[in-house]
Amino acid sequence: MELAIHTDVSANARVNAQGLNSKPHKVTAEGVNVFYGNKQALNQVNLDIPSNMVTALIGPSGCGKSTFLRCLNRMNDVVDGCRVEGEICLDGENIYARGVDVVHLRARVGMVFQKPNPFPKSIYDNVAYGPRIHGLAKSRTDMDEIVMTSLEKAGLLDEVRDRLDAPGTGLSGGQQQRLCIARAIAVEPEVILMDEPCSALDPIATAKIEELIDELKENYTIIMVTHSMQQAARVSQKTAFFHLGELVEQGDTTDIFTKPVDERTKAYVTGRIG
Amino acid sequence: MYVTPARRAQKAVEAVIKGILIASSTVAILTTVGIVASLLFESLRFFGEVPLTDFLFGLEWSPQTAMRADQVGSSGSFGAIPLFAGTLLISAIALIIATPIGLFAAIYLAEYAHVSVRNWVKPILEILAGIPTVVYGFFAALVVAPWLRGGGESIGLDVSSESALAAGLVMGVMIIPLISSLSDDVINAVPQTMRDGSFGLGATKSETIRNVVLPAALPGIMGGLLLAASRAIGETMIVVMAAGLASNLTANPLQAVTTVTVQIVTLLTGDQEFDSAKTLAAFALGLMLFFTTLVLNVVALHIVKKYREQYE
Repeated sequence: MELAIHTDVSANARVNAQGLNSKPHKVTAEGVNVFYGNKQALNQVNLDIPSNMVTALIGPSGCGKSTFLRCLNRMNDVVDGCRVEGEICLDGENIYARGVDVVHLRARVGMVFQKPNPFPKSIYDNVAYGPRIHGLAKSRTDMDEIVMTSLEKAGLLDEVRDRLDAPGTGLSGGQQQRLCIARAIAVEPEVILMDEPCSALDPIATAKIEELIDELKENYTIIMVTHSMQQAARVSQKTAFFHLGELVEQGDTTDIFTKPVDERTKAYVTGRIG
Repeated sequence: MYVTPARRAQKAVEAVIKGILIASSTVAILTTVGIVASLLFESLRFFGEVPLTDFLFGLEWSPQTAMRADQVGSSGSFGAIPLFAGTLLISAIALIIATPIGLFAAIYLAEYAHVSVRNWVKPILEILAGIPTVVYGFFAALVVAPWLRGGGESIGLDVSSESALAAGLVMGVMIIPLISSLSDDVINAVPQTMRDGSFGLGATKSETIRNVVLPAALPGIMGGLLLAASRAIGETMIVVMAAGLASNLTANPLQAVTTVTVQIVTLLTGDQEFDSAKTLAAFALGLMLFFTTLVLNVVALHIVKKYREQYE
């Protein structure tokens, strides 16, 4: 199924250009402005996100990094008074073009939230939720297969194998977050957005999630917002620094942390602003 | 600054305030205890004259007792079954009407309505809740009942001029705001992160509401429904005016039935001897009604608790 009915010439041109690159860009954002009512939350953001890597979005609170993340699967659509300008392309197709099916977009771009938010259902039904909506399983056996694989990939299967019928809300915080990751994986997305996935977790659970993110990048493009610079340094390959609604600097994570170009980036990564 | 003896006045004020608060709550508790005790003792007197089994399982209700030895037509049977059947029939009709309408209205208000619409619709629904029940009562008796009768006749149905359907319909309208406002609160209390999780997986709005929001809100909605049910069972004015006075054991909503509350009203209005079985029957009915709503509330709490354990 074609995501966008309309793709403009420049988008097609970019796809061709990407063909020459060794690492094609999965997601590209060009001139993105976001307004909440009259307040501008993002100002002219241009950011290209490579596939099969972890890209970290860092910056002080209120800098617009979460807003940008939520633009990538159009989660801002449900926010009253939110307006998005500019172009965001997934595999060269503008996701804000007219006629784009948001349901299909969100199946391709999954999301994991700040606070683990399992549904008030069993562990099995939590993971089966997405596949059921999108009709991915033809039979009960198919569904069992999807659920098991997703739990396995999320590193949760061994802990919950014998209690798949237990409520998902009964798990520990870290397990719940891995359940949410399993739930996102079950829809077979290409991109996974993570909005501070570890901020509500203890250090041990955080370490497990980070390890998991590192494994997941083999198959998925991961974009994560984080408040922890250590975390960005540990798990990401690319980093983008946001400040007051602007994308200040982007590049390889090691470069951002060791030799930042912009003064503001330098101040943030050394802990002087934040 | 040092502590002066005059400062002890503050302690005295605290003690007085505490005393007033305790006294207020004691009044409320004592009133409840007093009412229950009075119901209990008067009912015991009633059961001294009429056997408990006759009351609980009797199929005939005709509370006229003979005042003179030569009076005729006063059988004095006190079988409460027809009254409870009537009460349940009317309450069931009311709930069948009000549950879907109230719930759907709540879903619309909580999930779909724009803020400006919501600011208009909610107060209007609350006005509906503020209409005195006596107004609903004559609306039922003077508008709905004749309309049902006329409508029934035109399609060849025999509808009595006072019918369970008329009373139930109007009572249903009365409890719509109760159900919608309670459900609206509960649906709003479902965390937004729950909806985000569902939207994030590509679910549409209606899928999200059906599969995530409503299951999460179910305990609260059940609680609201049971509250509405006990309100319907205890409702008096509408049924007094629109349901009928004669006891009639039937499941046909087109016929007149009477309810527990209607009978309590008719037993106690007018000149009465206070110690006859006829008046004491009102206490027994009141006790039964109280007991029924109590059981309903206990069951409601149990269900709510069960769901909560499952979902938290």
